Amino acid sequence: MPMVDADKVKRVAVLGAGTIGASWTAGFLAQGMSVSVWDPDGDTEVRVRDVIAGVWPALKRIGMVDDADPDAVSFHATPAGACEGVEMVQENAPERLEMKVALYDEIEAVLSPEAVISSSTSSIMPTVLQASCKHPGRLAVGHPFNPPHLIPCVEVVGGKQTDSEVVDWLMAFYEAAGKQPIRINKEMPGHLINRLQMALWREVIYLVNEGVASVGDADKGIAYGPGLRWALMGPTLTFHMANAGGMPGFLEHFGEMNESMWNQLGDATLDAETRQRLIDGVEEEADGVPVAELRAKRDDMLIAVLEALAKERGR
Amino acid sequence: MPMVSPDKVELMAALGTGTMGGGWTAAFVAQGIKVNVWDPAEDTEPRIRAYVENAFPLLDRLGLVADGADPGNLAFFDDPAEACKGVQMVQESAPEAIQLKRDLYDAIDDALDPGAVLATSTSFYRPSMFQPDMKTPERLVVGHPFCPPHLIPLVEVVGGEQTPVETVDWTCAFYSAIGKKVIRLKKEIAGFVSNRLQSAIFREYAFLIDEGIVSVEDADTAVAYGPGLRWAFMGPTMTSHVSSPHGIEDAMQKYEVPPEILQERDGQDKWSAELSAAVVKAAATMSRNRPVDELWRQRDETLVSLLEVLKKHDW
Repeated sequence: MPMVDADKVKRVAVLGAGTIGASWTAGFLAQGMSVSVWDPDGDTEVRVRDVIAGVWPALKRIGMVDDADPDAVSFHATPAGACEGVEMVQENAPERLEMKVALYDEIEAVLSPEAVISSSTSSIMPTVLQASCKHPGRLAVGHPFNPPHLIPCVEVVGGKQTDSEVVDWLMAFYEAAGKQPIRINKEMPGHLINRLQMALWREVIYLVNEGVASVGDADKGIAYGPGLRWALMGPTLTFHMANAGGMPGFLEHFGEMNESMWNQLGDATLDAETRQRLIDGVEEEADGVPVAELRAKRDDMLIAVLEALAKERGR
Repeated sequence: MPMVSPDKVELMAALGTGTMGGGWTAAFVAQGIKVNVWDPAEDTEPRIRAYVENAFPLLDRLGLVADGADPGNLAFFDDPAEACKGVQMVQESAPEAIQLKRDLYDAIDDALDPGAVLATSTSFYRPSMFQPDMKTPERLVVGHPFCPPHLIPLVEVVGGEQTPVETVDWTCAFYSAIGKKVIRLKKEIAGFVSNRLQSAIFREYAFLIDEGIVSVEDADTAVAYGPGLRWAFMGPTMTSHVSSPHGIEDAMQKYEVPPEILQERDGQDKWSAELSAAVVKAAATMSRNRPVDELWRQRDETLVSLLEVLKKHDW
């Protein structure tokens, strides 16, 4: 059983502080927790403190606890050092199994057996991750979305040896930390959301390869169309509202057409020619704006969208 | 050739005024265009008048009401041919049934001026499917909107084999002039771009629900609190482009798309009875059994707030 109630966590460790880990750190601090950070990079402390200072105003706008302290962060030379006395570990090491396994081995020596380990992995199954753990029952996946301090959804998946209380605890922990966790009942490559993103992108690539639309127009086809609704609600509620008769009416009028479309969807591979087409297409779409500027703009837009939605949902 | 320049349209016909046609009517009237309405339903006039009245304040917030536009600038007809006399353009939003649309085109052709453009709101059928039986096939073009059509900016435009390129150009220019975001398909394909993309997502989503990976509610949460937030202002290729500090080329290598997700279509191709039952039940739960028209009002309010934010950020 985990050491503390899921909404009473005071100390967490963040292992691996690249884009994802630094963003988790800021998010946990904003919820009033103290965070112990480890990353093998020499400039970690400067970089992570920069990220925290940079995103702190945004976190204030979208929701922060009163006693949150951006300086409640400590930096450690070893992963074991960062894990002493923590109640929960968020692991964000590179997506290489042997690195993650070695890391677990190192930290389990100092972690209390009840401390929960959550991996941010997007591609390795928890059953594989926990295979050589001393206490495999405490490990699960808590997969965030970029940028994790802004995107609320976290996918929670346990492996075959994960205690079911640990999955329940992680769901409650992320919820208490202001997230929208979803429970994935079975392990699957890509969990849920990346599968949906890939299903969407595969069809985009197919349509671009077929010459139906440019990369820019296919992107517009989402961002000015269904994407606006998906910011408000998922596909099922969207279809529920597509017909005055609700979901039963939708299925009656459009169910068959839907199936017929499923059977006509295209396939795509990322061969060299396709890669070049996507690179050229997105370059045209970006119209000379550098990626760093686009990323900053994306984060501004996300904050504004989240604020607008919070206001509407609060009514 | 179309009768007037695309930004000078003064009189249109809206044929079929359900969910799609009602929204279109409001969008046109708000731009100062007089609309002749035909719909076989008995309550059409009071329903559409109320719909347009209610839509005006929302459209006004988005800057989509032209100076002097009058919500009462509508006329109602019992016969589609009568509604089409003297109009410069027709927006047909009849039910998605091929024969019904064909019969309607037959019924109005003689009443239409030779240069009048006939845009169909079909969400699925290629325009070339209708043209062989038409008296004046060259006037037909697809102008496919998204629900609710007065608020969602996207319109997909595609001509059939017998549609002259000038008519497609004109139609694109017309929708742009009334404030829409137009994407022009370079080839006909069933379901066009955006519905194929929605379908690709839903097909994978249905598979994951049928496999017991996730509940319908959690799957909807995953989209609305995850990638849906980004898709409200950025399509999937641009999303990939900004996911790495070094752009799409790096993103494709570094985060490499798991090949088993991109290449294998292991989603399903059928609406199983279990799936239908699950989505109907979940839609009722998620909407807390509120009636669909109440959900629409709330969705539209939220969409307008979201669009205001995007506009303010000059996106």
